[in-house]
Amino acid sequence: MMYTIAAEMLAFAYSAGQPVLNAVSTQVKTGEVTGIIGPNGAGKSTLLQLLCGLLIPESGTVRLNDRPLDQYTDRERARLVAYMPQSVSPAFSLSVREVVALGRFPHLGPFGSLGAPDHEIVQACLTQTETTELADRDFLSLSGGERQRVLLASVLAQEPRLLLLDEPTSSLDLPHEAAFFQQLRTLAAQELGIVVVTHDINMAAQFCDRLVLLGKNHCLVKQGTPSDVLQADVLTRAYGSPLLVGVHPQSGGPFVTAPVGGV
Amino acid sequence: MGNTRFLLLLGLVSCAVIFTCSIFIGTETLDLGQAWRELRHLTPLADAPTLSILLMQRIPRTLAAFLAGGGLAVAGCAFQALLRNPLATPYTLGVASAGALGAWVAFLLADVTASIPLLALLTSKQVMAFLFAGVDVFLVYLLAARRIHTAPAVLLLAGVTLGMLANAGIMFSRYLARPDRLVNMDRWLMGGVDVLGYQPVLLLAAGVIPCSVVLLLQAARYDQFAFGTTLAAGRGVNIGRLQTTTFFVGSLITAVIVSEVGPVGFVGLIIPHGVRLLTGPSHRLLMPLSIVAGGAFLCACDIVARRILPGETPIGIITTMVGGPVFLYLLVRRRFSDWNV
Repeated sequence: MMYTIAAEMLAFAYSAGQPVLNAVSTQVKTGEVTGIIGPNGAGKSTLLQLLCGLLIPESGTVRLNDRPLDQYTDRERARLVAYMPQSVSPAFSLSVREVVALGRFPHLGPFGSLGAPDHEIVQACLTQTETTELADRDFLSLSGGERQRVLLASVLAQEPRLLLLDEPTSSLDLPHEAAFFQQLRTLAAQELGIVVVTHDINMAAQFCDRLVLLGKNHCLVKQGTPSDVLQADVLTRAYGSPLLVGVHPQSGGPFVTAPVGGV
Repeated sequence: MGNTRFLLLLGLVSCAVIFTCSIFIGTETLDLGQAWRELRHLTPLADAPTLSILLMQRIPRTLAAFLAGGGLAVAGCAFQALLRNPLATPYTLGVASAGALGAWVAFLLADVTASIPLLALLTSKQVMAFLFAGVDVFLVYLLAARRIHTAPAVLLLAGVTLGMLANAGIMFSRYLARPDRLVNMDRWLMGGVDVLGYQPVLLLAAGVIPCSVVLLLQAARYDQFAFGTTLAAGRGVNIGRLQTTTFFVGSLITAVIVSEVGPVGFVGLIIPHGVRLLTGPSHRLLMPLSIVAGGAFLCACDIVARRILPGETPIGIITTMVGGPVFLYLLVRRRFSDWNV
């Protein structure tokens, strides 16, 4: 079954008179990797949190399969849409398996007890993210890359249809970042919808099916395929500074960089 | 795992032993055979001194200690999870200080209100302690409430500040009080579970049991707080509702306990930490076992208060004398390295 989140004319402000997002409309669906890109402060993370119902828009609507998102209960929503925040700091020490098991919460009863099927799903998520060998390790003892894979396993344990990730690779080196994006592509091929906020335009160009570009003015500048969006004039308008667009040496897709000498 | 289960079983058996000892050990030695004879012959309590001590003093006292200790421990677990702070206690939000101020105001008003029965009841130290604690809770909430959910840091700062204001109020009350009254007033501040009969027990039970059930039902949600509110919200936890529920129910349980037994310190702080060493961080196990351990701890402290130290030592002194070193031990052994704060 196809699942979609459709946002129409979204506007949001954390404090009155200071809009963070203005009249943004977009749509994401299962089977696709959608990247949300744009300059600092453009409202990318805010848009992501609006799309999964963690923030309530001041105006505009968010619909999950044609039903307004606010008509879902918190648990109903969490069974369909999972959210992975930018950075997490656990309050106390937990094993990797316990961290992944926390993801089963929306499927559990009032006492939160895990049954045999839940344990099987936790194990499957550990396997899928290649973290089985870390299962008994303390989460706090893991490296940045390992932590991100475990967190991914944890949100996958929610068994969502749409997975929204906020800058999941910001603390990873290039090979780990590429491996993480490759994993997102694999998940999309398994009929999961992926929405990822990232500052790495080139990773987005390489791994995303669609890009949503927000501008400094908190508005949508352009959305479409990476080739449509990643054009020098469009990016310059969004970032407020000139950016150069070339060709990726391997894929032949767009490759973005800043001009020598800064901006 | 097997070792943990054995320790848990040992802990539960120890709690049961302490609970039983608390009934049978006191300032006077009970002749159980005599109590049984009095019970078997259905002797009226007025003519059955041993049975009377057992039924009207020892059992209510033990139940009061168990309810107060268990309630403070479960509220401690909830506040530590809510504020993501290992130093949070049921008293962190100023409830105990405000309750104590209420009790002191009641002491001050006693002369004025003694002749009017209804007014005397309304200004009794229990009612006034509960009212003042309630006012503190509402003020803290008003200061910390935000559009989306409550700000834990503001909650903490508002609680600590209101607690300090209440302490200033207590000092002012002391300044105004008649010197001969100060002994009674100070004694209340030291806490005590020396209740007579079942009315205080019923009041404690009416507050502690339903509030504990509500908090226990949130245990799986507190586990989700381990990674902060955003991830928990993404998992389907209604953050605003959980914060409000914990805040009000945790404060209510504390206010009821403070109004009945006074501000007994350290139980809500050390019991969750001690039990967490056995159970790990999962609140589904931590919270029910903290109730049992907290109840047993206060019963044990009451035994010490009755038998080991001379006279009847106020229980608040015992809990602090035991709790302080235990807490320092946990600190020195770096048990708080479990907390990433």
